[in-house]
Amino acid sequence: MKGPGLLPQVAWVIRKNLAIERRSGETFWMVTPFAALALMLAPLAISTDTALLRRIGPGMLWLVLVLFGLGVALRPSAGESRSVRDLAALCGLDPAARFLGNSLGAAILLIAVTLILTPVMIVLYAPGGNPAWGWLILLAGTGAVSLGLLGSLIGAVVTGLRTRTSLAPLLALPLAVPVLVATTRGTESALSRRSSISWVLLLVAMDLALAVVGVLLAGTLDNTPPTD
Amino acid sequence: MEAIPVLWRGTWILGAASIILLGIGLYAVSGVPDEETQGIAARLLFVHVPSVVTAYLALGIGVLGALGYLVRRWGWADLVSAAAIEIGVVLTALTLWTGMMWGRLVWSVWWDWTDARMVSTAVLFFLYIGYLALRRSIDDSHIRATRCAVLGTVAFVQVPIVHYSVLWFRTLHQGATLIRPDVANATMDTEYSGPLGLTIVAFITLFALLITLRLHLARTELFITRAAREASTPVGAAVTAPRSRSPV
Repeated sequence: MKGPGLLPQVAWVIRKNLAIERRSGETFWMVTPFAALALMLAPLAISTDTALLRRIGPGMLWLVLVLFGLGVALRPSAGESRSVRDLAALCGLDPAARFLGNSLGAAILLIAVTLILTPVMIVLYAPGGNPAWGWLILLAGTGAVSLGLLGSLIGAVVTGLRTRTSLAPLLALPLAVPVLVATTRGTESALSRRSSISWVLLLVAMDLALAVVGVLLAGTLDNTPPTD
Repeated sequence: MEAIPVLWRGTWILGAASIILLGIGLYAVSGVPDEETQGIAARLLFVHVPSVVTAYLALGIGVLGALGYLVRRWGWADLVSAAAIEIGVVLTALTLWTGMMWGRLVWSVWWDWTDARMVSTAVLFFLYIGYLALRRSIDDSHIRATRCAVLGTVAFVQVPIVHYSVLWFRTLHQGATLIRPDVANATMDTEYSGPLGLTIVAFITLFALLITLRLHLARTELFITRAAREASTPVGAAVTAPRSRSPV
């Protein structure tokens, strides 16, 4: 009997991850307020100089999003137990579908987090401006997809390891540097109402590259069971 | 039971060649005049450049080994990849350190954020530190080899970024001098390029020696692990005298 195709499987994994989030509320009731608090506390540690804050605002926003967002993106794949993976394999779930589902599920959550935190950053760091919201929304989407894909890939590499909570950020953060640079520069441009097209295109290229690498390697990683 | 691995005979030749070439390189460098503007600091070039060239080579061999394991499941490819990356990390650290020392002498600062190559090399260093940490975290050899091969392949993307960062970004670091698209327009004086070439060859020979020794160590580790596993497997007792696990 032929099972469902790749896209329905991806949609199933996304629904599963969003249902888990709906029940736990971890991203919206814990991670997002914590990230907003970090954005609020940073000026107290650095400086309350308005000109300086306006300059560092985009960088602070995306640094916070990368640090907190990678945690959100790593959770579904890094935290999967052996029994969950075995059950998924028995159900005939394609590893590539699981990778894409986990990535896109995390990306949806991260887009929402970004869209909440961006106005917070503008209020706290760059008030009084008239940003290009269209570019900010595009940057939120492409940046969130990058973080989702990267987090899922690294999550699959560290899944089941005893040291995964310490190891995953160490592996993911250096790889997230291009995302951090592109989103920060893009946001700077959008805040001063300039086009962010080059940065959005760079993020789209990274998204595609990460998706291809992840899909190609998902089966290989899936054949190495978690060590738990 | 397999025999204890013995050191490859060529190791001694590699060792002797490394010492001789490093000696010749040192002699050649001692005869190089001080650079016009940088003075004695320019001599750091003879450690900095060979270490980065050899680090690229090591990380390149690392990714080839990783791909060899991913595509063909060659166990030896994983060992070569791990050995090369370990040495590559040490050489990357040496590159960073000599670069920072040069910066302190010439720019009066240890670190400059406008130097794209310095920053990207530091990112590369931390990425491969993560690789080594991942390797230490997994006991099962198959799982370790697969996951490290995936990470080793993805991480190598950073190497061309480091190299071409001086062309892609506005940076304080000088442009590519040795490996550049327009290689015919090299900008270095011959009294520098000759000794530099010698030290690069010496570093590559030293790398060949180190990877040979590291592979020997890896094979010995495998031998000990297998011997310990065989010794602890009670095949005869299990077949001839089955016993209950529960205490009587």
